[in-house]
Amino acid sequence: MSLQLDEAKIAEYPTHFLLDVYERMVLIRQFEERVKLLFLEGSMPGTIHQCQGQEACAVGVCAALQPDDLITSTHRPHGHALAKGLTPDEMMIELFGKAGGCCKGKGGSMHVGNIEKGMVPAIAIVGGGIPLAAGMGLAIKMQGLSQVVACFFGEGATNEGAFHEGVNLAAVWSLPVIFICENNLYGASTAIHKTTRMTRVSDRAQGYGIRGETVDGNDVLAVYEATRRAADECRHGQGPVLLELLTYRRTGHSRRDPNHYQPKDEQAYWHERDPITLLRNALQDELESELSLIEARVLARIETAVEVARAAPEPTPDDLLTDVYATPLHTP
Amino acid sequence: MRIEIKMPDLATTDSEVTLLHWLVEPGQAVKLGQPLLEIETDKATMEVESIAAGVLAETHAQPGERVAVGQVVAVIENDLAESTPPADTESVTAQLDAETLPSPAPTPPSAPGSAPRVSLFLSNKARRLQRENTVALSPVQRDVARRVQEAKQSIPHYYLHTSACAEPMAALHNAAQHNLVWDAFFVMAAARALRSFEKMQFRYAGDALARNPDAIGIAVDVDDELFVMAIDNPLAQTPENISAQIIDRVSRIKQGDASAKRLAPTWLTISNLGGENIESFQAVINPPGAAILSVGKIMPTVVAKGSGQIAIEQRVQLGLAVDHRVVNGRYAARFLGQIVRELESL
Repeated sequence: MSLQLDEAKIAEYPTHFLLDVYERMVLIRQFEERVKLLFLEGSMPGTIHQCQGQEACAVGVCAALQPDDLITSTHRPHGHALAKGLTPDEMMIELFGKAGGCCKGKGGSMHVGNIEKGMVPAIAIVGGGIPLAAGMGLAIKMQGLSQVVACFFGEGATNEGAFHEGVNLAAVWSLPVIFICENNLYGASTAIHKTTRMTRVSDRAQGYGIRGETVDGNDVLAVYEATRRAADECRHGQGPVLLELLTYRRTGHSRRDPNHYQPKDEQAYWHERDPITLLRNALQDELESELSLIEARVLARIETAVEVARAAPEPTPDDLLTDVYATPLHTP
Repeated sequence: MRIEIKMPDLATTDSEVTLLHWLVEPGQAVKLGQPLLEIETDKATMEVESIAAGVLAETHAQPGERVAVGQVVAVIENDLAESTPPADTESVTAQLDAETLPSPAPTPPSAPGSAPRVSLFLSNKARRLQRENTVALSPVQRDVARRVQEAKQSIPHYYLHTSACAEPMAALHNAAQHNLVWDAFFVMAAARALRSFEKMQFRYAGDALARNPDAIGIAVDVDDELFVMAIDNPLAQTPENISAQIIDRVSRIKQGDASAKRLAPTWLTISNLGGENIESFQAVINPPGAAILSVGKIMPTVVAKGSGQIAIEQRVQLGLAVDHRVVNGRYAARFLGQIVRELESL
């Protein structure tokens, strides 16, 4: 994989698109970095699974989707949510467990989502989103709609039974689902080659009779283009598709994991290929002032979200009984 | 401004972590995100990054100290004019330094009825009193405490007592060129006895018995910490190499070698307090093993012989605590009898 993006390819894109994509990636990075500080400061409850280094996957995929297309996510959902259009405010409030969050403070970090923006609340169970995505694809097909579902999961999930069941049924019924494996080389602390001989995840597509493709997951435009192709196929009844995005996590599996298992030279290689740095390097000769402006704007945006979240009201005891049953139960 | 640095919640199952080192000295400048201290949690060692830029003004905990999550460990003084720009300019992240980061907003008072998340906020006086009147268990001893409590509460123990003639053992011990560890003889006798009492190697697993690894554990107390070291494939061993393994393992534990402290499953554990002048005792089973052999002091004992004579010989008292779910009393009694015969024919 290259240490710089293809300049000829970049020249084909309108500037506003490139800046949008850049801003979205920086937004995710800064959101995650700020959340890390909040966690260290003791303001953020629970543990947190962060996605620094994987921003191009979330942003490249979601940029290729329509607003009414759907995504499913994982225990590492912040990037997916921000890429799909959730605001830093509704996310940050949710992470603080406050009432105004995207899931009213009941989901927290691992269950962020907003169905109106096309994101089902994230499912933290590894592989748990895969059968759900197949079911959503079936619903779309039976209703004759033209939406697609982009289903995010890590390479660790591909050894779960749910992966086999979900992908196989989606294949049998030609469902409009893009199975997106963010292969960051480690399932928690375990390297991929220790859990499977099939270290090229896209090769598994053959076993289901569908198309698979491996893409540089740190090249946001490569991810965008591969997702566009896959979405087109899905909308023409030729789905599902398995996309493998090769990427790298710059943090531990969770905040409590110091990722000592990542070899130093491997970390150095991937840090040089950081998705934000790659795009910035390609754009900065022409657009330095715009990029700086974006970075400053994002920082201010995140600070606002933190202030809003700190000041947001806590849920009340009455909220315990809402969103639990289809018809809320009231004790006499 | 003064920014208090609290110990973040980085442990997996604990509410305390151990401070290993300060990575910054008081008086030195600190960048946002710079590693400030190294800690050991119940699961890993890791660095804790600074949540503020400025100068490290105070530290409130020493290396080696157990620190509660949420406790203030340092104060950083933040003077915007003096703060240094980050060296790492290629990373967008690093630009979050003191010059661009707005001062942290003051935490709004909690809404009525909302409980604070961490309930460990004590006054300094309360914290001092707590420190003076409690002694923290080491990580090893916390694990021992948890395991013995679980074993004693969940395993239906019963206890057998007998004694064996220790003359053959003592002869071998005296004749050996190198210093032999007494435990080695009991490992060998138990391993040989297992050949005719195979069920002793199993553990209770619901409505079935499951086979344990072919290894015998020896309980060793090193500086008030209890370890069980496994002797693998004991039938293939000699007293000499069992002794060498035990001596080597103890010296590695003393040197702090983490791999030497690792616990491995065994089918039997041997606990020997003979060296402490204990004549006999009963021990707590060490799971997943189904039994633990307790060994007392080898001592001259008056024995009545069949001919009506009395004699004095070296004898040792043995106890066997057994998991009743695995074997009944008669089986275990015969197994213990076989250990005695093996010891007497070494």
